Formats: sequence, C-alpha cells, structure tokens
Amino acid sequence: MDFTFSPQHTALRRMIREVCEEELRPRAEKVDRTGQQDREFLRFLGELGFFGIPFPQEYGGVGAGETGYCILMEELDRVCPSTATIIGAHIGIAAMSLSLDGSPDLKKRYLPDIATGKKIAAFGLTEPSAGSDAAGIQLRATLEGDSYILDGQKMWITNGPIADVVMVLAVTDATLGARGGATCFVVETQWEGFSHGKPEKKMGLHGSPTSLLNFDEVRVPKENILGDVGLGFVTFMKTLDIGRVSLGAATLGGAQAALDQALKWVKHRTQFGRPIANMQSIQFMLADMAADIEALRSLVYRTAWLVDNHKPFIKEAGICKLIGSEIASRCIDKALQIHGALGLSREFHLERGWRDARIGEIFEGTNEIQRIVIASELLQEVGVRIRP
Amino acid sequence: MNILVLLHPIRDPGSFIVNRRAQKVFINRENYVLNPADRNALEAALRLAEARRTVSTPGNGHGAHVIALTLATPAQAALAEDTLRQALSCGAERAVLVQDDLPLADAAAVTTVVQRVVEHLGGIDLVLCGAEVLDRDLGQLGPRLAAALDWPFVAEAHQVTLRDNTLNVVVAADRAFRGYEAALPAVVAIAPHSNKPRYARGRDLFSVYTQANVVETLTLSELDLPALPTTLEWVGEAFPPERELGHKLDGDVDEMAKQVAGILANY
Repeated sequence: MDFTFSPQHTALRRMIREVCEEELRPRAEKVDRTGQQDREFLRFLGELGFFGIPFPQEYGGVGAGETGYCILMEELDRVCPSTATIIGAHIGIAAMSLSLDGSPDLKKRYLPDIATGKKIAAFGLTEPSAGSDAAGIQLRATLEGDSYILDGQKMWITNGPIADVVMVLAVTDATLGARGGATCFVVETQWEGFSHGKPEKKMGLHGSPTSLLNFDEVRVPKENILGDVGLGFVTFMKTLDIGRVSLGAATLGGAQAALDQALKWVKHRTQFGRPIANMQSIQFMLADMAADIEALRSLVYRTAWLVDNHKPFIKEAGICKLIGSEIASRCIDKALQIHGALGLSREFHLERGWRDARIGEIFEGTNEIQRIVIASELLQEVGVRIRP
Repeated sequence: MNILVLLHPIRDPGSFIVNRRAQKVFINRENYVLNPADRNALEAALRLAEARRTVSTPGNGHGAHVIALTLATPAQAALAEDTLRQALSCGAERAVLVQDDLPLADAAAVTTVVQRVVEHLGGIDLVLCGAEVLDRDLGQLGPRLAAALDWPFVAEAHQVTLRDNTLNVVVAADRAFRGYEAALPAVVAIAPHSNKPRYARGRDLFSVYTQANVVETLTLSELDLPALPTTLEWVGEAFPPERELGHKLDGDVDEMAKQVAGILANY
C-alpha cells in the first residue's frame, strides 16, 4: 500500500496552503465580524481553481478528484471555516449533484461557469418542515407545457443569499412521495419568482451566508431537469453520501488548526516557572488531540481513495462525517481549555473556531442520521435491511 | 526574446533552529522551499515576457519565453525537478536541470556552469537571478556571471521593464530610487520582496505534475565541462564567535572620527 500523496496532489496542497496563509488568513477575522464576503476575492480564488477542484478539466475544473477536494477543504477550514463552507456547499453538494447526474448538455451549459467560480451554486433540499426527514419536502413542481412551475420554500440554504444557480429538489408526483415522486432542477436565481430571505443570524460561520429561498411560481424549462424525472431523491442522496467525505476533511482541518495553535501556546506560556508544555495534564491533552487527528486523517484520505477508485464508500463516508465533526469539536474545545481565559477572548481567534465547529454535528445530515446510515450499511453486509 | 531565470531550492528557514549553546543546528522537519528572491526573479521574468508578448515590434516574431534553470547534485534531483515544475506551473515555457557532482556553494563553479548553459542554449537575452540566496553566498553570482559573459549587470533591481532592446531598471539605494538603463543581453539581480509572486493555477499544476519528461536534464560532460574551477575548500564548520561588546564613542564628529581611526589602526 502506498500512502504517499501523488506529486500533483502534493504540489496542489502546497499552493492551496500558501494562498490560505497569505490571502485568506488576514481576511478571516473580518469575514466573521462583518458577515460580508468579498466577491472580488472569491473570483480570485475561482481563477486559481478553488471552485472546481474535483471536476474534470474539460468542464473547467482542476481534475484533482475527491482526494484533491479533500485537500482543499482541509486547508480552507484550517484558516477560515466560513469560506470553507461557502466553497464546500458550492462544490461538494451543489455542483457535485450536477457532475454526478447531469446530462452532458446540462453540464456543458452550467458546470464551466460554476467550476471557475463565475457562478456560485447552492443546494436546495431542506425545508421548514423537512430536515432530517428529507422525504417530507413539499416544494411542488407542476408540469405546464415545456416547463415546470416551482412553488414553495427552502430553508437554511448555505450560499442562499449569494447563489447564481440553485439545485432544487421538488415534488413532481405527490402520490409517490419522495421515492419516485421528486425531481431535481437547476434554477437560475435571477428568474422571475425567485427570492431569498435575509441571511440567518447564526452562532458561528458568520461569513457563510445562509437563508430561506422562496420559489413563487418560478418557471423552469424541462431542459433544466437534473438527472431523471422522479429520481431526484436518488440524485440528492448520492450527492450527500459523497459530500460527507469532504466534510470530514474540513473538520480535519479545523482540528489540526486547533492542535497547531495549542502547540504554539504551550511552548510560549509559562506558569509555575516553566512552559506549560512540561506539564503532564497538558501533554495528555495534546496527545489525545493528536491521536484523534491521526485517526481521522487516515480515514478521510483512505475514503477519498475509495471514491477516486470507484469502490464502495458510503459507510466510510458516514464515519468520516460522524467522527470528524465530533473530533473537531473535541480538539477545538481542548485547545480552548489549554489557552485558558485567552481562549474565551474575542480579541483572539480561538473562540471563532469554537463557534464555527458546532455546526459540524448538525448540517449535511445530522450525526444521528449518520449513525443510521452507518448501521444500515453494516447490517446490509449481514443481510438485514433497515433503510428508513 | 528568451529570459533565463536561476532557481535554488533551499531548506525552509522555518524548519530548523540554530542553537548556539548546544553548538548545533536542530532540524525540526524536512522541508524545502524555493529561495524567496528567486521567486521574485521568476515573477519579474514572467511579467517581462507577458509585456513583450502584447507588444508587436519588428523581430518579435518568436514571442517571449521564460526558461527556468536549476543546478543540483544527484541527491537533490527530485527536489530540483519539483522546483522546476513549480516554475513551469507558474508559466515558464522551459525547464532545464543541470545534474552532476556540483559544488553548489562555490560561486566560481556555479558561474562557470551557468555561463556554459547560456552558451549551450543560445539566444538568451536576459539572465535574472535572486539578489540573495539564503543558505549560500551567491549574491556574487550576478556580477561574476555578467563579467564572464561580458554583459552589463544591474544589482538589487526592484522593477524591470523593457522597451525594445533596452532594459529600464529601478534600484533602491540608500534613501532613494535610482534608474538604470542597460542594453540587452544583460544580467539583473532581483531584490527580494520586490514584487508579489503569482500562484500557480490548480489546472496548470495538475497538467505539469502529471506529465512525464517536462524537465530537460544536462550533465557537465554534455556542457563540455570536464572540470570545474573551485575557489572554496571545505575545512570544517563552526559557529561565528559571540558578538563582543563594542566601543561607545563620545564627542563631536571630528573627535569620534579620530577615535575610530585609532581603533582601526590597532585592529
């Protein structure tokens, strides 16, 4: 088994890390404080390939696959989880659904602009009364001649306020429910009838704009169906399955950042006449963080390898997201403890990481849903089917 | 127009600690970076080439090319290849590696090799190098090379622009900027931090790093260099002595000047 990254992935990580350190890190505090994203800066990142890392070069991407995408998410989240979330939702679920199930024609029309960051994409699944119960969505798509009329709402949509394109799951046949009765559509946000709500005020990820989406009789041409009529749920579930891997990579970045910061602090901070690095209580906390991070790192990149090599990965992906989110929260919390009062200070960046990490256990499938997915895969291996 | 840029991979300054008390260098992690001033030199070259391509002048038929050059011993071959691929990813058109048993810290030897490469490649109009190399005393490479090639040399350039075949160079000196003109071909040493080096685009990195054989390799015999002149002999290594307390001088300028002269006379 060769556990080394390829030369091209190593070179890619080096470039991404440098951009994150030199360009993103100085902006992270302001992005969190103001909640504003600099579109010029996002465009600069797009030119370097940050908005299309996994997609084939023929569609405007970098061609770095799931491994390259995990590298991107790890490096971004290490520095600015808000920006990581904007790009993560854009690539990992919105553009990914198009890449997985879009027809060549639909991909040719939308993917190049999305992969270069010229257009920002969002993933519209969740609704006010459909979160974990994704099958309970109610946004309707009614066929009228050559188009569908979309009517309803989506809620808690990352990139909602800034998206140019939204991949929406709508009910096309209410009698069949979500299985067989839902279809994905690519909707352009400048179309008549689309509007978005105010950005939600959240505990963390202030720089990642999230909002309600209103579809008020939006006319969507049949050419914009993503995948097949009635199979929208399958497309979206496939997308969420793969999205978990890169989310695990993002949480890895957050955990690593916490450990790096803790290591800097324990060298520098002296109490009782010596650096606190000399105290076993601190050493044990650092060791526990490192152990968690090593395990997560191996898991994430092995799962990315499974994806890139077209092997089954659903169970591993669920585990990536499940333990990644919990490890990140644990590590960041320990780092905060190690910094004492400084960890609580808003003049210092740790408390931002602590607030930003909490969402990990909730979005893109709560950790409860992840446990169901993992158990379902496990039991299927021994012949028991428990799909909810 | 062909611009040759010399690139040196060096040990990352942040990756090791010099501990005078232990008389040791502690290497915390194995990490190498491109010499910072060389990145500025590469950026300067790329900008000159881009500017040249947008101007159509007689004799400009062949466009403008940046050629990256690195010297390496066999042990550093992979590192040198990586350095050159970085340059290609940023937009250099060619990458040349001279790989042999080379005394890389010896400015006279390095000068001879680079001079031979310039002659071997032919058609080089400009050589750019970083004004300082962090782990070696190669700031002297620029003037040595220019003397060997009998070309003009400009040191510590902050800005280089080209009009037809004349270089306009802005150099920071004392508390002012000085402008120089030099006719091509020329050698220019680029000051560190004098520009913002570009990042390679993801797709270019991926293309360059997945292609085989993007680097042209040369050996000393292919350059017709059976033996290299050396001016250095490695005797040993030690830390420089502790800095001693100096003399504090009082009085007006004339009195102080007399005191300095006295100290120097007794040195």
